Amino acid sequence: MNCEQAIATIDHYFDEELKQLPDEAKQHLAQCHGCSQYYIAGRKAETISSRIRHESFRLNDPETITNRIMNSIKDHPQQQDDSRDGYLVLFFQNNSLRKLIAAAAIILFAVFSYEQYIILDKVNHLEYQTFQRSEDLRWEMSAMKTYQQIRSIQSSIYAGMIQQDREKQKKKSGIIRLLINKNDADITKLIQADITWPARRPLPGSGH
Amino acid sequence: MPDNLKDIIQAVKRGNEEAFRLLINRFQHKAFGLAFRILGDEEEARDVVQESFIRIWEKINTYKTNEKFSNWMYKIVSNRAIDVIRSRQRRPVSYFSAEQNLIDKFQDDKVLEDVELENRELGQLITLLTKSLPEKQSLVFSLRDLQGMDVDEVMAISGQTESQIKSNLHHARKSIREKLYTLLNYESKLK
Repeated sequence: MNCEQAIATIDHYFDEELKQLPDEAKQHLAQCHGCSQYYIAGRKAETISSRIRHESFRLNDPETITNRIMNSIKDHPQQQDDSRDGYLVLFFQNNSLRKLIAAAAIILFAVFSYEQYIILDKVNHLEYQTFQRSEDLRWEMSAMKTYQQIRSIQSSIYAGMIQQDREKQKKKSGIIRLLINKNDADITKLIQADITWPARRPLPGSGH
Repeated sequence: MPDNLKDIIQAVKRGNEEAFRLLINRFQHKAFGLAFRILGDEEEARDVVQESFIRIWEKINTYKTNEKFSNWMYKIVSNRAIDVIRSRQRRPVSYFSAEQNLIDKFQDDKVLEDVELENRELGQLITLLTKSLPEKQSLVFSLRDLQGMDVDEVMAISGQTESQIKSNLHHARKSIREKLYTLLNYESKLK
């Protein structure tokens, strides 16, 4: 070990990073006056510090100091705490409260996340239902339209049939009038027209 | 009058002077001990105690009960002591011969440990150690090695981080070792 290494080791030792000096360093100190003087200086500094640390320093005249202070404060009014966020700072400086707030935040986040998931699920379900219903309605409206068209066609067919019946009735009335007037030519003409006459009933006792 | 510290402080916050007298009686020796360990001068330390308690009276409403009162007080005392050190640096004085005499006197560590010393001599030893240290190093060294505070307390009072304290303490101790080494070597050369 050279002097530079020995000094570094002594520094570590007095910085409380080493519990005791390594043997290698001790051997160097036994041979090197300069380094051993440096080590002695460190020990002396520790001894002086320890002596001062264990000394109980007290004021010789505490009453005099107290009275001086009490007389002086009359000229020094107390200042008010103007930090508006004093309680807020106190609140956040409290370690237990910080942990409690963090835990509450995590729980609230979890609850709201779950609620949001449930709501979104419901909205999706409703959207699907609405879509299905609108599809059904569209189909129903289309069916209704078709039905109306069919009804309309039926109506026109019925109207046509009524008109035909009327015309046939009119022709029958004309034939009956002609039969009454006994005009054979007109009767033949009418009979040749496409009129279905009701089947003649057999007379009672005719043998048919 | 309340004797519980919390009640005393509440009373002081309401402007009760008698409660403040109780507070002074309870803490003035501790305040003096710290000021003396930083400054090494009894008269200066007394002045610092006086000024610090006036400051405590003025600022008591900013004191938050979640902080240890003694730490809050030590912060005020150490700030005032640092102000005194700064004002000293404007009038530098050489103490080398005085320091040499001191080292000669306490050459034997047993003498240093066993003999009853006056405040004046102890103050000289403090000055011997801390004089010429930068103020941050001087404060950390005084709080940790001379006052015996733990790192958490030093952090609360000095406002430095743990790594800053470690670094300042390392440099302060090394400077002191080197200074004492110079004084010891100087003596050995004379012999």
